Amino acid sequence: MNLELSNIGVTVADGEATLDILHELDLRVDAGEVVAIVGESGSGKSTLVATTGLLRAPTTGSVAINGQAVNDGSLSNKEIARLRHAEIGLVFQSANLFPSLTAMEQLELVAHLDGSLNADARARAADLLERVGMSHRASQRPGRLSGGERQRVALARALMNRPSLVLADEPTASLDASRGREIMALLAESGRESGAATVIVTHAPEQLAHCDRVLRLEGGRLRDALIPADV
Amino acid sequence: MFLALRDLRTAKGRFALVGGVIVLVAFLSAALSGLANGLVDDGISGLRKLPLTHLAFQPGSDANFSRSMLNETNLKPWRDALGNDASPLGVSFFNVRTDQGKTLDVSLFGTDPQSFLAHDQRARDALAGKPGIVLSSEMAELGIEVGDTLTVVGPDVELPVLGFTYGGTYGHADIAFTSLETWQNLVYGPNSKGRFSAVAIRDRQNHDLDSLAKESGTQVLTKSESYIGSPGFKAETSTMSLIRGFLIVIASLVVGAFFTVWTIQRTGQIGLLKALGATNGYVVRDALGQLAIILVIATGIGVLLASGAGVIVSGSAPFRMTLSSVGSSALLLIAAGMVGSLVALRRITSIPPDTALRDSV
Repeated sequence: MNLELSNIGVTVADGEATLDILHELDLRVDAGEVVAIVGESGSGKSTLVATTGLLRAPTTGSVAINGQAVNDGSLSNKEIARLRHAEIGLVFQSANLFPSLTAMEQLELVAHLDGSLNADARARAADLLERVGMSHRASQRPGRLSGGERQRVALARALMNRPSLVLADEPTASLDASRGREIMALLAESGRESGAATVIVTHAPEQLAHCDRVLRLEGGRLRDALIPADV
Repeated sequence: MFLALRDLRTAKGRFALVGGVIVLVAFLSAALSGLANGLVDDGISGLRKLPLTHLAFQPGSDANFSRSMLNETNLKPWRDALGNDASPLGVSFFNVRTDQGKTLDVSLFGTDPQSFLAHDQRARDALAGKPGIVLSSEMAELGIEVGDTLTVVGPDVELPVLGFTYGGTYGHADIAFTSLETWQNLVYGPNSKGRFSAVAIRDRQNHDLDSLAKESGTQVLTKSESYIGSPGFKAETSTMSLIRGFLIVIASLVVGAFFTVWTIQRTGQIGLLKALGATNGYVVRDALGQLAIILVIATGIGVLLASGAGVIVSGSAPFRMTLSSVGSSALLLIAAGMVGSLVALRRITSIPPDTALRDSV
């Protein structure tokens, strides 16, 4: 699977004026590749995640998954939702787990969304929790999990549907440095294992050792690329 | 309803609060329905129990027995066509005084001893003999016995109690039967000229009743259509309907308001569901399913409580619950709640998936 963003622009209204959040942005991520995008607060990182994750349509440019454009108006909202479910795994800054669901149920929900919750799906959920070291906490709700544990469950949830693209939006922002490194390692490792393209957006350059490429987002554009060792 | 069921499991207090309000509304709605039915029953139960299918009144009398006056000329076409299944019926309200000096209201039905309304030989014999009165079975509970004498206040005529028959009331007064001749004497005195209130009809062969009504110069109504003539019937039923209507509107607004606030609080969660790939249809089904569960359970509890209250008050107040009236009240309430949630549903479908990036759940 590969992801290709071409000439992406996102413009939003700012009072009576308009504001360019992303501008002529190009990005290509190949299967199994782990790419980090760093940038200051307000540089457009979250907008880039929203656009890449098909959570919002860009104002200009195209998003293509495996060469197929997904924002050219040919897909309905329902089809885009299904594509998002089938192809993309999301990890959020604050884990964003449902308060009423146990760790196990967070993963089961993903299968339930497309009606595929069965014994195999439950076995996969249990296996993923095992992989992220959370099987012993499977029956706990988020309120009884630490920040690091919640983020591990969120990572397992993102992998539940075998996505082709894993998108992580500041996944370590609410964690201490040690837990942050642990989550970054897990993300990179799981991406490579599953062959998914992985894009990690962060403002913590010290945690990029596991990434293949690092891009910097400045003024709405991906300006330069650094290798992790240089960061 | 994967998420909906688990939300219900964990946020019990929040759902108990709105459920409690719906329980109260359902209780009130079902209790009022029981009271409305009880009042209706009190107005027409005696008439309902008579084995007639139709009544022919004087045109323009609005099914009111007091306003309707017919005679033998009006009766003849009915008798010719239906034989003994058409019977003259006189209905008037009287006060009667017992031997102990207690005064009671009765709705006095005067009928021919050979009428189909006198359903067994004993009743026919009682009405055919010397003037007397047959009371509704409820009046036996007042201590009146066969052989007691009741004095009809006004004409001051004394009538012996001949027996007890159909229970029931008409115009909120217990019904009593006497012969048509006795009834005519009480109402018109010796110069009754064969007058009576209406023709009671038992149509067993689908006669052309409209033609017969035209021929006889009467207006024919079904038994249930003629309930409207019972004193206070229209005012009571419309008042109760109005109150129940308001309760339904209140229920709709309460559920709509709760659901809207609940949706606003769940904005992040709904956005997250969509970000994970849930379609609008999935999110709406989840939300509606949750609401339906609350509505059904709360309405069921409210109706059960109202039924219990009905059993307690049934001796002292007119109260009657039927499966159909309770069922329709409950269904109406559930439907009103679902309608009230439509505003919130619109909000649910408009929450964008990128909300998940801004709002944590």
